[in-house]
Amino acid sequence: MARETNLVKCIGKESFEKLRDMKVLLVGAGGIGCELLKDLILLEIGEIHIVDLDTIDLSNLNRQFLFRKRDIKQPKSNTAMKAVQRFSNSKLVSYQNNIMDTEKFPLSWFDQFSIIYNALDNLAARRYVNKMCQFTNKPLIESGTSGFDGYIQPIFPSVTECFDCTTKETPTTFPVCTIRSTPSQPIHCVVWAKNFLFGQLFAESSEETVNDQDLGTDDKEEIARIKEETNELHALQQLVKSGDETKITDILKKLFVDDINKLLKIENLWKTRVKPTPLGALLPSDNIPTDLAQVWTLQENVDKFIEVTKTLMLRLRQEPFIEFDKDDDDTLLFVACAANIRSYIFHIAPKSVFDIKQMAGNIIPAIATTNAIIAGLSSLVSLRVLNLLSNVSNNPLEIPMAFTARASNITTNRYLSNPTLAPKNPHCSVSSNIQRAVLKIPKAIVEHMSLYDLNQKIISKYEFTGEYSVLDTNTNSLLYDFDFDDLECRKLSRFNFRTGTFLLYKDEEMEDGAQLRQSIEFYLEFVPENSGEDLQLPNLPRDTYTYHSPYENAEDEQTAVDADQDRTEDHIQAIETLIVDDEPAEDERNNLKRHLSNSIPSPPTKTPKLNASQSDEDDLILLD
Amino acid sequence: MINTSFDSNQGGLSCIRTSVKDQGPRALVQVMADQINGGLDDRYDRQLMIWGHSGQDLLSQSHVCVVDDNQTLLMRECVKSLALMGIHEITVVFGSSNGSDFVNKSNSDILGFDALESMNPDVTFHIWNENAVPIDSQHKLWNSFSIVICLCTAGPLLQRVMKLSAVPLIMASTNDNLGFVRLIGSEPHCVIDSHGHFTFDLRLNRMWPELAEYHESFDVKNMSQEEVSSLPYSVLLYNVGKSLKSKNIPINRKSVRAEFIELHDSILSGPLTNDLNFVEAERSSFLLYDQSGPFPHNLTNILNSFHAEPNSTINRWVYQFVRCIRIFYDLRGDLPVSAFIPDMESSTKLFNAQKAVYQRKAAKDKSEIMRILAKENYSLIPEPLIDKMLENLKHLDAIKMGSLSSATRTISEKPKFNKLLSLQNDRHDTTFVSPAMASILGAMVSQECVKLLTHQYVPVENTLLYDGDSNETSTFIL
Repeated sequence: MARETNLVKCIGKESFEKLRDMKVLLVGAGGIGCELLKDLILLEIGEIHIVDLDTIDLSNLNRQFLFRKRDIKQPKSNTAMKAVQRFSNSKLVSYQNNIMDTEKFPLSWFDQFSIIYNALDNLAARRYVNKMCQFTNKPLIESGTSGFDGYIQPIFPSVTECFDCTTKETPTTFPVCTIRSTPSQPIHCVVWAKNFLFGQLFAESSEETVNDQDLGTDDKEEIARIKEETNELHALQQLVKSGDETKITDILKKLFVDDINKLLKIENLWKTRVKPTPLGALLPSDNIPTDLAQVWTLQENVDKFIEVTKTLMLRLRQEPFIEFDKDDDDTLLFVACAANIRSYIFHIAPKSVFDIKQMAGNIIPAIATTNAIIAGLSSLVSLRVLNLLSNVSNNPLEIPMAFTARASNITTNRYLSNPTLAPKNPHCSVSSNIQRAVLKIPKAIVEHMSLYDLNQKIISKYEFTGEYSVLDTNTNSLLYDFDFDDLECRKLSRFNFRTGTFLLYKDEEMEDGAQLRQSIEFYLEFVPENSGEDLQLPNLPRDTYTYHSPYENAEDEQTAVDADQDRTEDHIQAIETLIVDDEPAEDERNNLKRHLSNSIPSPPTKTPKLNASQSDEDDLILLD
Repeated sequence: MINTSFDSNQGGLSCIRTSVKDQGPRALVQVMADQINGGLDDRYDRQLMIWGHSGQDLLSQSHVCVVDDNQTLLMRECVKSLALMGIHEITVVFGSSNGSDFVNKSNSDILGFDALESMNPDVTFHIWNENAVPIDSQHKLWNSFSIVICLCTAGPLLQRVMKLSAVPLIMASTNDNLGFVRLIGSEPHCVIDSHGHFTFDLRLNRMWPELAEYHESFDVKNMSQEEVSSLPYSVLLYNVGKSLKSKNIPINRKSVRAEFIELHDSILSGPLTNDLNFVEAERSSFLLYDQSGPFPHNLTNILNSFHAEPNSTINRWVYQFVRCIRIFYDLRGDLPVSAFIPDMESSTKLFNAQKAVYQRKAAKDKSEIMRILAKENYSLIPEPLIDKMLENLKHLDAIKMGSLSSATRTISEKPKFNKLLSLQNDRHDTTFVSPAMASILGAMVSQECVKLLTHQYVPVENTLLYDGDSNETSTFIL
């Protein structure tokens, strides 16, 4: 077959045979994923597993070339597989699941692959797969695009930089007070309507409590008001659930008159700001607007708000809750109208529904060409990562990553910048000073073993001598440290542990220059009763490292960047500005304040309230 | 914010739709189809954020011809990207040297012709065998192309295409892990919007009377705290600049900062960072530095690039427009004022008043530009395009296209490139290409094609070499 002869000529018979015997994982069947699937099939790889949770949307069709209009609402993974199956010499397996689903994809499942290709659209999944690769020591080819910008980064666990070795731009977040009390831009009102209002009224009820330190304001009156408001919204939720349409005017009055009047009473807020104007008396009219590209008047927004709230209330009779989805017109219209009414109140320019869709959906520009370039680069470099090319060095530190240059400025004489892979960052909490192991927990012991018992076994086995902490890194909740032992007496069965839970044990000696025991991150795997009652702790070669205070780390990193001559300015710029997130998860790294991110909120976590000192909090943030 | 860049794309060159080429009824049908099919946008939502409706409109009227000796993967990759992005019409011409008259559907089927044809219902496909291509250069087929992409870099088919078509040409080839892309044209290519970094010029050091009067109308030192907090930052900047001048202190980052702190502390309490308009003013202190200067380099470049009036419609419009800007500049000693000013932290009333000052001046300057255009007999340029270019003066540009005669020049520092060139001349050498290389090169070709068609973003000037072993790219003006 022509395809095969061509390939044998390119890489040689021996490498070709290796590819035929290989099993690889492709995470994502979207823009980059469709292209990569084609490239991998043309490489005649023996077996390709494709994971994607998403379904196909019309706006995918400008680049995801394996999909047609008739495929809309179908799962991407399976549709992509079917589209290529009859041309493929590779065995194909597809899954419509979240890659972070530990029941479907336990750690051992990742172990079957020779290499993993990331073609993802969100930070959380990227970091998760990165960690899985660190656990299983599998090479990973990470990639992403946004408009004309794109990048690939091969990752050799414990050798080269991992995904978390460099700080990633997190989606823009706003302080709670800006969103709740003092919006000044259209996006603030959109975030309020989508994350706060819609979430409270229609989504699965969240038990999130508001914590004083998290608000981005010290004004006591303002904090009290924010808390009060949250409680009142629970009452509104009951109104919405009642299905009584006559209550919609009450909702309008509460949100856009009463709440605004209460804010106005906090005089401190308005000393340097223009005061909001509560919604005046408006009579509902019948001229409900339809043109989504037009900016609607206040009256039109109110009319549409009433109409769409009715629709959503009706839907709540059939659906237990409704999540915001930019492609669900009812939810989009509710958010758009609520945001616009709030904008009018705060003297902010209103936006068209079309514009609000872009803002609320966090939509990133995407085109066919960048995805094809990036997928091509990813499959090409993977041959080097797999040591299949004989004419070039396959030494990890000589393999290039790639960034496409800004299309507005090609004058730099580079279409791509191609720095070679950097060694892992010695301060990275994911790839450095950490050991990883699977901890098999017999189901029989969880009823009588407490966290204290487990901790004692672990610290004696792994020679933790001084202070240490235990963190559940899935939920980022602290389970134990020297200042917080409330949970130690709990039996393991009373924690939300399951297969896939990560427990991080970390040496907490705080003196600068101290020799610390390497941290250990355990992947918990629950094993059936009959496997015995004993907890077997795996043997690990223990090592130490020198502790540097986090305040000095910042400087160290700066020098590291300065010293690294390979890193061109474009490259650094690319890293800093590349948005790799389609639907960003709530991400609170490096930030003491709690921020409302413009995103779909993750399920609430039961994090114990911390009474730790300032330095502990700093450490927690580093751990993340 | 994504939204802003999207907004700036909404300028709407839609009137180009009917006049860009003499496409008569079809363009009209397209307009109607747009209006009827409200859902049309959804398919292209994600790319509309990149080049806007004006760019998409241009794509939806374009006819691209892709020529190759064989039905290679590279050709299919090109056609795939072009079809996905919504090029209106794609004509594929393949050689007859391999003796097959029919479209080979069994080869590399993931991107087989039936798949390509079903990828986007908005695209019309034509597939020609070399033998069937009309040889009359006046044939309407040859007049309908917007761009020809030629993936065979030597031989009779190329010669034939070259002879017959007068539009820009993109040549590309790949061998082993090496590829090149080359843009060839009979005249330079004008960029309407490079989408470069946007900076404003508020003319704070080159004020016209109304702007000066407006800025003078605030007695900042005698205002209440509340009043000062509601001032747009340009007023603060102006006062700081004036005060520095009166003290004969040179204006630089340091002096401006010191003056700001002084002004702030004389009126307001607390740190400067508490007052957003002061923060903004400090961030924009560069606006006080002398920004006047010679006629902008990018506009000079456009004027110098053409020896005569350009042939292609959009190039000609850009060139004519820039000539008029030059005439305006010679008369007034400055560029026309932009109607757009950055959002400022201030009271809505003051901000609107200030915006109106700029808008009035921008409207006046525009009407003068219109007068010059009329006087020069350049009246065909659509007004939305004029507005867009006025708003975009810093992002207009021209790039040099390659010429055919220099196509085979060797580049001494790139022996690999020279090897590729020598391989091209012997086209019967059986070249082999990895699928990844075809994907990368095919996408690069389509991407350059779209930049040329939309006149947005900066295409490669004008030869690109890609080395798949190192991911190194180099560009050369050849």
